[in-house]
Amino acid sequence: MVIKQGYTRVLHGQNFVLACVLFIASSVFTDLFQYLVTQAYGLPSDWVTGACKFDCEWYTSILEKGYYLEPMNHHIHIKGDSANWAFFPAFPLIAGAVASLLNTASELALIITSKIFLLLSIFAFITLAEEELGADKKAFAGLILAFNPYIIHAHSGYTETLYFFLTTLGFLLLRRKSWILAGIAGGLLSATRPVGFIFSLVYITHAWRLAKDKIPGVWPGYILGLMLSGLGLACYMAYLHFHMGDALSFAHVQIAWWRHLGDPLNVLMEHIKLAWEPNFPSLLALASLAMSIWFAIRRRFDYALLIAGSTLVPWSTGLMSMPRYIFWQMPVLLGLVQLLAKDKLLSALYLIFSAGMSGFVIVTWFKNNPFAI
Amino acid sequence: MGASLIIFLFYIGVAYLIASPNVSKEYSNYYIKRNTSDWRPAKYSGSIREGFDFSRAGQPDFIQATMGLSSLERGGRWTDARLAPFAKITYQEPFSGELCLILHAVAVRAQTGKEVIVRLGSEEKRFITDTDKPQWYALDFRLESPAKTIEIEPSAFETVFGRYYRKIALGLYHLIIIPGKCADTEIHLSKK
Repeated sequence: MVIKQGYTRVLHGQNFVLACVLFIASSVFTDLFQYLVTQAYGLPSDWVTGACKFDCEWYTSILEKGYYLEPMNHHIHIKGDSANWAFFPAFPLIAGAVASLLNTASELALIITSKIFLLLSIFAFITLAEEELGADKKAFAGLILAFNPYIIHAHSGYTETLYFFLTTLGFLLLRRKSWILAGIAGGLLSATRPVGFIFSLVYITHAWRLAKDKIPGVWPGYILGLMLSGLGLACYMAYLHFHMGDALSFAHVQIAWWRHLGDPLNVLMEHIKLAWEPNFPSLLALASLAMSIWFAIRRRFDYALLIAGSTLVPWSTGLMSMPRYIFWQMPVLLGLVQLLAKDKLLSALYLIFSAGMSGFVIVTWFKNNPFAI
Repeated sequence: MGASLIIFLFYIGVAYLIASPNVSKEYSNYYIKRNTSDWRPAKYSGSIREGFDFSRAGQPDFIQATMGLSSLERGGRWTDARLAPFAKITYQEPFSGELCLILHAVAVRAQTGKEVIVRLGSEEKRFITDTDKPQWYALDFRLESPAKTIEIEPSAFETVFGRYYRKIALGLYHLIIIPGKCADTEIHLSKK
């Protein structure tokens, strides 16, 4: 037992060292591209201003002013109908703590928080890949994440890395049947992004394992975990109601981003029709659904459900930011590892494509192109 | 189980909060019901006789609110059935007696040759959009009781995608209301 524990510790230590190496490589890669882009296009070379854009600015507003009482003008939202309610509280709360701890400006604290969770995400992801796919796959898994096509969002004050880390942690805890801890991870996830609540449904799919084990006395813990898994979202909704009057304002304010929530099925069907036209976000969404079906065929209903839900929910409101949502879904990257790791040539080709595309996205990011948002 | 029960009761409380928002009517129409695309539009000085020029940003100060109209585009604004089945324009002050309602509008292909219902208060008039080119339409109303809302209800729409997903039917350019009968008014539509 002691030997096993010690061996596990060594393995985790190795994984952490690997995660640190990949994290540094990812940071250097992104910084190098930022330097090249700013030099090539004569853009301002201030690192923080260049990195903290778009959503990061909204998180900055939460850190500095709190959640708005009223909608207001904000850059492209000239109608004055936008507000920071769309941005869930877990990430800015943690970044606020980082800002206090390090005594830094809000923008820098947000970027540091993103980066910290990138490191943790890589560590958690290679641990999960090792447990599910074998030790020989973990380095490839780490590389896929560290050179994700949308890696810019891990270095720019976005919530994606926190979301990825909590998703991976949640699945690791579900594997260990640590129901209450998995519920807490789910609760935090539901306070991180609007689709975080889908983890509650994933959690339910694991009930069959409990039924199969027939171990007495575990159901109360499982039910408590389930109750905890949506608590973050419920607390945020209660806060919004008492703060500005509308518990669903985070969804309602999506109109400022040209997203509709009125008749999701209709919008979804129309977008599926449109997907047959050459359109990168739609094609990617279809590929994501295909991966969900692939997981379902392999009887991994938990991954299938998370991918399907996290694709269909945003897709039913529009296509904006769809590539980012897909490339920051942990099961999507895990599926890619499973599919590609069997063939070294395919793996190498994918990594070349991924790193190349991440370079392209970094260029579009610093040129303020909506493709990167 | 006690902790689970407490959290469950909390969820019920949150469900109640979701069902009972405490917001202004303006917020409710724009964000929750989504029947208008106007969020606190800028107001400009205008007269009812000059009319509501849909090609201008904002609204004249004699307009209280609109519903079922898409955002401003070059030339005017479309009715959008996705927001509301009919366009509704509410004036600040009510109208009464004999009135001439003049509408400059264009119909989408699907609406061509089909009926449009125009309601002013409880009175109702109909006309056919016989072309997909911009046309002027003049309708006589005799109001039995004061009214300040105009509803324009097309029969058909076309679904269009762009930044917004919309169901458009009539492109509105101008809406004028003049006291008296249309035949007696000094506005000659043919000269427009």
